[in-house]
Order: sequence, then C-alpha cells, then structure tokens
Amino acid sequence: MKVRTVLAAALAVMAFAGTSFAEDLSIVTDESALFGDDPASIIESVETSTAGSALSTFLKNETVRIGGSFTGSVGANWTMRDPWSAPALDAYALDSVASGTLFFDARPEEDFRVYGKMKAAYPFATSADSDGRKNAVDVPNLQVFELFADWNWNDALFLRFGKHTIKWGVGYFFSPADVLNLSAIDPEDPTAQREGPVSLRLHYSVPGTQTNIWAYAIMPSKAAERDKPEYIASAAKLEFLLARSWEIGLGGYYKYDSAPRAVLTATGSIWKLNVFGEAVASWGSDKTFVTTVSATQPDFVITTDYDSGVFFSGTAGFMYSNAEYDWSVAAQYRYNGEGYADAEREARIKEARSNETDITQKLSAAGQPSSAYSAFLKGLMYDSGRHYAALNLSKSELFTKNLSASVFAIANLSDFSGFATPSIAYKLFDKTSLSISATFVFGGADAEYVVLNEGTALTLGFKASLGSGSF
Amino acid sequence: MKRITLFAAFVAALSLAPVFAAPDFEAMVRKVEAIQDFSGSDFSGVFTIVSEKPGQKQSLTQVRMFRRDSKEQFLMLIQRPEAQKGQGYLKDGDNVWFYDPTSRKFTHSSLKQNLNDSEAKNSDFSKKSILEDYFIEKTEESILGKIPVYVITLKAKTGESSYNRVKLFIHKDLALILREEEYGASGRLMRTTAFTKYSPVGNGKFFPSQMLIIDEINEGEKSQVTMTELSTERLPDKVFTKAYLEQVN
Repeated sequence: MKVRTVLAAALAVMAFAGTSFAEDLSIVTDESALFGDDPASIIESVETSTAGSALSTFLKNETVRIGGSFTGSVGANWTMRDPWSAPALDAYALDSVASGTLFFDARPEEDFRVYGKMKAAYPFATSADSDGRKNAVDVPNLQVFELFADWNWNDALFLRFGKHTIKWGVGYFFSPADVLNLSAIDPEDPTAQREGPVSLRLHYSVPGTQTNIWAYAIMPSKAAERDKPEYIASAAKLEFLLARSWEIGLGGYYKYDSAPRAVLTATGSIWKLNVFGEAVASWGSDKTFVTTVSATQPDFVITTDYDSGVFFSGTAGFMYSNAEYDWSVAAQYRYNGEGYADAEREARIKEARSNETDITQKLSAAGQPSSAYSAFLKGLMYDSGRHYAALNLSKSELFTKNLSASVFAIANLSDFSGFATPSIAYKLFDKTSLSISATFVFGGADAEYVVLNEGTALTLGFKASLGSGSF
Repeated sequence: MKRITLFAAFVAALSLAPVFAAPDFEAMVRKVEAIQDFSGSDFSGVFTIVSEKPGQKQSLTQVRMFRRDSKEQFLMLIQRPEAQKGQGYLKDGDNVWFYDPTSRKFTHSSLKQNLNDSEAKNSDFSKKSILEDYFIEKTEESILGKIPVYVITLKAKTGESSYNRVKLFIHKDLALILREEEYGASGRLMRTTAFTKYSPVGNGKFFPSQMLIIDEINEGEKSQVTMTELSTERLPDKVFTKAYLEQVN
C-alpha cells in the first residue's frame, strides 16, 4: 500500500522514540484547525537538500562520537529446592547490578572508521589467586568488548578487522550454526550482544541484488593456540533471496583440529509468523562423549571422540507480535545432534548414581568441597538431550498501561524437564520499574534441569530496575 | 500567496474536476496512489517526529529516509535520539531488514509481520495497490473541518491484510488523502492519521510533509511527523545494501 509508505516509516521510527526531548511543541488535533476552509493550506512547499551531501554526513565526522549504556538493578531471590514435599528456604541471594558500556566511533574519512567498546560491571575489581599462590591480585572488571576498523576497497569490498561480534546464525533462543562467536546465545537474554573473536571479515555485496558474500579469518582465542597460525579458522557464507520473501544462507566453517561444518539458514514468513531455521552438518564432532561413568577412572569417566561421521543439528522457530492487543510470542525447537540417545543418557546417569558414594569419597579425599559431586553430575547432564524447546510469551499494557507480564519456558524434550518463569513488571515512572517472578523447575529426579537446579526448585524473585538507559 | 499559487497549479495540472464529476472511486484511489508514486526518481528526506504520551515528556525522533520506488527499496537511518542513532531499516521488495548496531544483528522479516515493535506493518511499505488487498465496501460524502471530502471505506479481501477495514477521507477537489482510519479484526479503531500538509516534489508528485498520528488504543498518545530536506536527486545504488547500512552504523 504505497500511499502509506510515509506513514509506515514514521510509525516504525516512533518505536524508537527515546530520550531526545522536543522543545515543548503543541500538537494540534482539532480538525477545524487542521483542515480550515482554505484548501490551499494543504499544499506547502518545503526546503530541499542535496541527497549526496546527506550521504556523506553519515560516513565522515569531524568529531569522535562517544556513547554507551548503563544498567542498574537490585534484586533478591529465595529458593526452595523441594517446595512440594519438604518446603524450606534452601538459598537466598542479593543481586546488585551496576554495569555499563562505553563506546567511541571515529570516522576521520568517508572510507575509514575505528570503533571500540568497553564493558565494566560491579564489583569493579575481583580478587584472583595468582597461579594458585597465596597472594591474591585485584583484577579490574573491565573488558574490551569490541575494537575494530572498517575500510573498503573501491566501495565494493568492505573489510573489518579486529574484535567484533559476528552475525552468523538466525536462531533466536538457540543458534547451533553459530560456532564463531565466543559465547552461545543465553536463552534468557536472547537479544544481548555476544562477544566475538578477533577476525578479519570481507563483505561483498553483489551489485543490484541483496546477495551478500561474507568471508572470515578468525584468530585463535584459546591461549594455547593463539601463537599458532594453523589454528586460524576460516568461514564463508553466501546469503541470497529466494521466492521474494525468503533469505537463504549457505555457509561453511573450517578450523584445524576441529570438525568442519556446513550451514544452511533460512528466514521468511508463513502466514503472519516470522519464521527462521538453521541446519548444521559437521564431519565429526568437537564434543567429548562420555561412554562410561566409573569411580575407578581418574576423572570418573571413560570418553571417546568422533573425528568422522556426520553429525546433524538443526533448529526452527517463529516469532509473532500483535500490535492490536500488545502481545508477542517467540518459540523455537532445537535438535541437538551432539546429544546422547535416550538409552545412553539414562545409562550414564544410572552409572553416576551407582558410583555416587565412591566418587564422593574420592573427591573428598582429594580435598574437593562437598558440592563437587553435584558439579560433576551437572557437567555430565548439561546439554545432554537431543530435543530442546524454548518459548517466550509477553503481554504489555495488561489491565493498565504500565503493567506487563511474560512467561519464559525452556525444556529438554528428551527427558521432559525444564523450567518456566512467569513474571510481572510494573513501570513506576521513566527508568524505574519493579518486577516479581517465580521460577518453577519441573521434571523427573534425574532429568537435566532438575539436576542443574538441584531439585524441582521454586525460586521467587524480586527486582527493581533503576536508571537503566543508553546515552 | 505562495501556497495559493501552488494550490492553483496543482489543481490545474491534475484537472481533477472532470475526473471527480461522476466519481469513479476505484479510479480515485488509484489517482491517490499515483500522486505519491516516485517510481521515476529517487527520493530522500528527513522525518522529525514529536510524540506525546500521557505523563511523559514529549520525545523527538529524527530519521533520514532514502527511497527508490522503482525497485521497491528504501533505507531509513535513525539520527536522533542519540541513543538509537545507527539503527536502521532496509527494504527491498517484500523483504525488510532491521539493523541494530548494538547487537550487530540484521533481522530479516517479510511484509506480513509488524515491523519490529512498532505500530507499522511491513505491508504498509508494500508497493502493492490498495485495491489489490482491499475492495471498496462503502462510499459517502462528508466534511472534514471545513473541507468537503469523499469517505471511502475499504474492506480487506483476506485475513492477511494489516487491517480489516480502512477508511480514507479524500479531498473532493484534490486526489489527496486528508485523513485515514484503520480498524482491526475486532472492528476496533486502532489508528487515525491526518495528512495536514503536502509538498510538491516535481512531475505532479506530492509528498505528505506533515502528519498527525493518533493512537486510538492508547488514549492520549499522538505524534506529529514533519518532513524536511526533500530531494529527488538520484541516489547511488550502494545506499540500498546491507553493506551501506552497516557502514554508516
């Protein structure tokens, strides 16, 4: 509906309306004032500009732009590990967050830009043992999160080198295709920026199309590999449009001593749903598989690696938002090809349980804390299933304008365990809101999320968001 | 005086009176669209949006838009507020990408969904004619302020349209929409837009340079949109690419 393009553009932009305040302008809504009896008042010539100069203003700047964000909150939570048969307060915690980012964006030339972003968080320094010796050192809680330069060759090949986040997969809660960034998506905070490695990126946009080719040379991030050129990983991806409204991505990843991967991604729409999916096939696996749990083994496990054979992982999901009733939903399924078959997983858990006493004694004899067995079991169970799903349902303006509600749930569908967190938030005023939540863990005694949470736990939480915002 | 001259030229150029003597409302809708069709040239300009919400200070948002109708492309770049500077939309055909420089993510969607979290539907940006998605259900005459208008009620042909019903209030002497009302599936009025100013941009084309948008669901929420720095100069092809969107952010 072309006639409404301008309107739609304005509406889209209004979603970003933020902290830049207008000078007290009176918005007139009276129709007789808007549409008086002078029909000529509708037509009014406005100033014109040169589009070319507008383009350059984005690419070159005499000053360095500085910006960032602040996140502040105080929260507390109370946990009962077995609230249904033995209700008792097992743990509680205070969580104070005062974190921020600070970035600079320098554009001395149209074709050259340097960008950097730092992160800091409370506590602003942490004590750490120096190589296990008694003397602790204070380490500032400060991180260079991004630092890179952009330039191009003939406005055709765009290059970026430095530490920067890599956009690789299309998943929302899970992205099995993305093995390039240093951290996986946190399903409870899926939109957070992830830390990327140091890499060289080449981007070529095929003229006259929306076909893009991305190529990466990724510097090794592990300390043991950092000075060895053979550990430079390479990746490439071709993105193109198909059937008018689907974007397809085909990619590959290779790193010495790692499983090479082929990746297929797709985004598009079905009905009014924004649909996305990823498929990944790797030759061999980087994961170490536990084949036996036994107290007689040095690390209590016998493991095996797979250097060959195809491992397939995939994911598919959708998002939908309804502006009329202010609600939205995002849901995603994940097939974890590097998970264990049900029978294998159950056998390993059974072995861990039957060896629990012996393992606990040996850990204790080695000076490990009493929680060491629990940590061992959690490590065994984490991400061990083959089928996972996550869902987020949110509703804003619930009964009243400042009240919103949401439910987040994640589950291992292989053992039917997971947790669900309904929450309600109330905005007191700008940059100040309160929320309460309850997290219910469900599943059998030896199911993944029950083990990870040390029971079918119930956690009640309270949080006050204080002064968070960008600048 | 300038306004009157422009107005007279506009009416003369379009020779609308004979067209509307015996209203052919389908032709009228097509005319409305044709006047804002920039297929023959590129278009750029700056939107300044002042929004009001009850209990909050007025907020100001500014966006630069680059548009190429012949290829169904546009690029929108947020300039203000400073905290959102760098976010942008790229549209090509039925595809829209939202770029967030904070997460460095391009989020792809198609024209069937809402655009990001905004009130805008991607289909609002579609080049499809209104009459491809809607049929004329009813027509009537009315007065808007003191201006006589035709009111055309459009009903969606399928459930996939952004709105179930749209009412267009069209100036009787000019092929310009003065007011638009959009209704949801429940029949609820969701949004009213008044197009209060139009600016000529050459070749008989006009662009709405001032709009008032009223959120009918959330009482008291309204926005005034003003368009400045209009240009129909040719834009480089690179503007409508992911590479450029990322380069400027």
